[in-house]
Amino acid sequence: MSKSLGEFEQAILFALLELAEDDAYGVRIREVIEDRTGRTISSGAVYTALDRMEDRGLVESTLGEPTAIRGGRRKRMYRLRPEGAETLLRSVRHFQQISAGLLPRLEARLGGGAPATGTGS
Amino acid sequence: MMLGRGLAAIIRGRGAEGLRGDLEEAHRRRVASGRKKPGRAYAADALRSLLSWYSPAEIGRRSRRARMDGSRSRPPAEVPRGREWDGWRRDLLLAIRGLSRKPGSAALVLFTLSLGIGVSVTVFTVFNTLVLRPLPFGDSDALIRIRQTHEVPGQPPRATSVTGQNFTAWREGAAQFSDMAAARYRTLTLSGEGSAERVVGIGATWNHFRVLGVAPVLGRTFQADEDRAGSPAPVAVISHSLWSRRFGQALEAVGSEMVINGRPHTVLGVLPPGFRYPYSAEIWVPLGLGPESEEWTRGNLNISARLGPGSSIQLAREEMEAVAQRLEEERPETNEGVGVALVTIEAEVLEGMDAKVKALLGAALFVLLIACANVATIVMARLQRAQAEMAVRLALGASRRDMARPILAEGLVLGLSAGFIGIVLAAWAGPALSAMSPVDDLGPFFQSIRVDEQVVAFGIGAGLVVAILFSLPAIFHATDARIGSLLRGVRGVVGNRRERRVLDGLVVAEVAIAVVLLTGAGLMLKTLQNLQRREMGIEPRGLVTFGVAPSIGGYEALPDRLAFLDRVLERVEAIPEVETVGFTNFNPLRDQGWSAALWPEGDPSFPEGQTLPVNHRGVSHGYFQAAGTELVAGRGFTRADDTDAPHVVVLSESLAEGLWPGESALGRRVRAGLPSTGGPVFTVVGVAENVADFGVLSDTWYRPYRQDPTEFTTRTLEVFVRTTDQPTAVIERVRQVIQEIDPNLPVFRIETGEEIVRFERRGETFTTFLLALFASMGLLLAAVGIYGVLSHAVTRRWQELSVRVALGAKAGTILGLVLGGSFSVVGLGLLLGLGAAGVLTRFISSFLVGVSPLDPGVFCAIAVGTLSVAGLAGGIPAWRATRVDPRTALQEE
Repeated sequence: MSKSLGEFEQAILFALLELAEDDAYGVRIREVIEDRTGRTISSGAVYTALDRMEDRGLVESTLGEPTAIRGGRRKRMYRLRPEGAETLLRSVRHFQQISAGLLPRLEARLGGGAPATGTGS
Repeated sequence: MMLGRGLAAIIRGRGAEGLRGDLEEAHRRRVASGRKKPGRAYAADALRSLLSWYSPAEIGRRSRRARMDGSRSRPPAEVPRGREWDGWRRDLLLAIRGLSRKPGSAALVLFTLSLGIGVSVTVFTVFNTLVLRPLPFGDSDALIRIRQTHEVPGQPPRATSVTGQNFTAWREGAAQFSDMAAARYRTLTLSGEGSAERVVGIGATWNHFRVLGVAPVLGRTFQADEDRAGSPAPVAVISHSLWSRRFGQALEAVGSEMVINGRPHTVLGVLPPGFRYPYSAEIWVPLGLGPESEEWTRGNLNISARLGPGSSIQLAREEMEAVAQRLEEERPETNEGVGVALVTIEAEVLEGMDAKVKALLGAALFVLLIACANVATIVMARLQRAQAEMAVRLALGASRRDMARPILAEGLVLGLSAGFIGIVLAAWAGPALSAMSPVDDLGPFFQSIRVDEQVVAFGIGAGLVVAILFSLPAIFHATDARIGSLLRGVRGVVGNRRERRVLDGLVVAEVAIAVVLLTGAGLMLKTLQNLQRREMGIEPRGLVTFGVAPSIGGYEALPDRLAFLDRVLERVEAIPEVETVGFTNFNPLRDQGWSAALWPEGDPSFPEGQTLPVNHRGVSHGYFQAAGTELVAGRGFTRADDTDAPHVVVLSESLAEGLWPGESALGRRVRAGLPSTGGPVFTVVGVAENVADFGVLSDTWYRPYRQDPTEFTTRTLEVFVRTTDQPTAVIERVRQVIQEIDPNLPVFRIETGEEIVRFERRGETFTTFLLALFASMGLLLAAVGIYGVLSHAVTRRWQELSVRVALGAKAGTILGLVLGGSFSVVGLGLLLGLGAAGVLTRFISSFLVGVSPLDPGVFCAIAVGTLSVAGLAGGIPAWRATRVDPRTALQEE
């Protein structure tokens, strides 16, 4: 059933892994991704992607308490479900399989430099 | 930051709270960490989030989820308000998305609807200008026109002209009016600087403008002392159009001199643009009414009056009736049977006009209805293609409301866009219409047809109504769908019966409405033809007419005038290309004339003391031949018919037939004037064919001008020249000849008969043009509808048709199969349409000339035309059906 994951979705799922369970909500997830990719992303993009993955059963969410900093709104906390972990693993493995041993050649093709995207700080 | 928050607030729906919280928190963190321009970052973040939240993919996903949830958890009837609104917004956005995915069919629907709405809005604009907008008079509700009627026992009262004597008595006797004014039609000659010109003028009492509540834009109007009885001051007030034409809108026009009828007049003031009341006049001079004036006893005054405070038309009517009764007793010799009729000026101005505009509005609404039916078929055809989706929705427990809402949402998007395009179309067509439309046909005031807020409201309203109208069939169809039948598939052999009935019904309606429109247009077209052809009793082809006014040329004495006229006839006739020449006192082609009252002498069957109103013409010998009016019996006039000879007349066929049905009129005698005083006796020597006068055939009597030369030669005479050659070539020769006779005499309006007809009939031409335009649009739309429905049917029957072809059906059989069904539908529409037309054409019967509202020729032509168009429209899909390749089609199974 499961479709493969997009790059952005992978990034979000990895962010969920990285964050503590009570800290895994939109703002923090976004910060993690922005830190790792160096790209600016919108809150809405994170949010809709999470929502989409919740539909697919990859993540699950619970509502936290309203806080002042959020203008009295509640946080929606996300957690990786086993299906999500499995899909992410398969997705990464898949990528590794098809690229096995070929990354050095790819870099050589580009004159030894690093790929333009995906470099962190 | 405000912007950011505002944008964030738009993000709504399930789960949106979390996102809005994220946006807010991210912002506060940015502020806390001292980032520059946090407000801008907030706004940017909110905007991008908004876009991804409402991206088509997200909306689709959420709506799918909402439906699943809804069907699983709770009955939709308990949907709270907020969710209902969410549903609407979602469905509207989905509709926009869906339409932009199918630009072709959306464009077709928009085109169809915009056409329908555009036509309706345009005609409504005209209607709004003419009928709904207040007249350019001050407080026009209190303005009354008073007419005089003459009643003879046993006959309906008829309008007669108001004399100065009666006007004065009315003004003195009526207390319900604050003021009363009189105006009289006059043709005036402007000379002096520039070319001589004949214009419509008005002799008016000095208070004319005060009564009407109109103030000049420049200068002033008359004062009481300028309107002296018998010797009015040489002053004039001019229309805005004349001011532009002769003075180039120069401010110095006021106070300057203008030569009117050979006498210098001082221009006092200029009236507001568009004001030309009454008679589309351009110059107003003081009337100078007094016991010595011609108007005192011979009248023809136009009376307007303003109701006093606290009065009403009812009170005024009662009072005026009492005044008229008193006058009848005091002066029986002139006022026997004379009564009054009061109408508001508004009613008078709109008389006849709003009927025409309403007919056009009706026609425009018909076009709109066809457009709706058309779009309904398109929407239904599309829905049928989406049946699988509907079946799933139903199976998942979607409610009727859930099924109807997307359809209506799509309708609203299309209807409102079409309404908007329609308003734009009307804004563009309005000025074009007012440029094309005959100004005085639409009333003297209404030269500006423009779009205002009422028109915009009409456009939006039309869009809403259209949205609902064309969504309804589809909604009924969808909400009545049965899951089982839908899930079994869309491969029915001939489609399900119910939906076919709906589609067929729509086509029947379209065809019927188009046929009604076509019939109206056809009848108007025939009327126009009649007006331009011989049926009018005058042959405009090969005819040249012009006006001369011997009294203006200085031929004051009667013998001089008669000698002058003889010379004109003689010299013009001597031009080689001229066949005959004659003249008359009013040009029937221009719808002008006088009336007279006559009765047959010594006819016991004709009620004692009664008269017949007739059209009164003085003509010269040779007139009938020159005009091309045939004499059906007896003779025309000769030079010998003068004051020494017995008085003779020629009657129109309709008049002779009315007086002596089935008998010869020749040698019979009629009297004219007032029955109480008797009157001169005339012997009928000829009967002439009927002439369409004032757009209708009227009873006319002709008299030789030499038997009443004073009356028939003081005014402008209309000379009719019958040519053998091109009439335009003769015009110059005629002008030369008159110039040779008298270089100082102006020749007025020298034109060919066809030019006059074209000009005089521009009102009918305009109406006919619009009707024909609407009718062809209706037919085009109906053809598109037939084409759409039939090609849809062919697509649905593809399997069946392939099986038939595989089993050896010939192309002809397939063609007959497909077309046969459509012809019965079109035929039914045609029959219904013709029936409805038979009833509805009576509403335009007053505009028809020489053609019955049930003209069989027109009805037949339309039946044949509609069937051919339907055959063409249905032929394309039918032809496609004959090309079915049984292999490919059967493979699909």
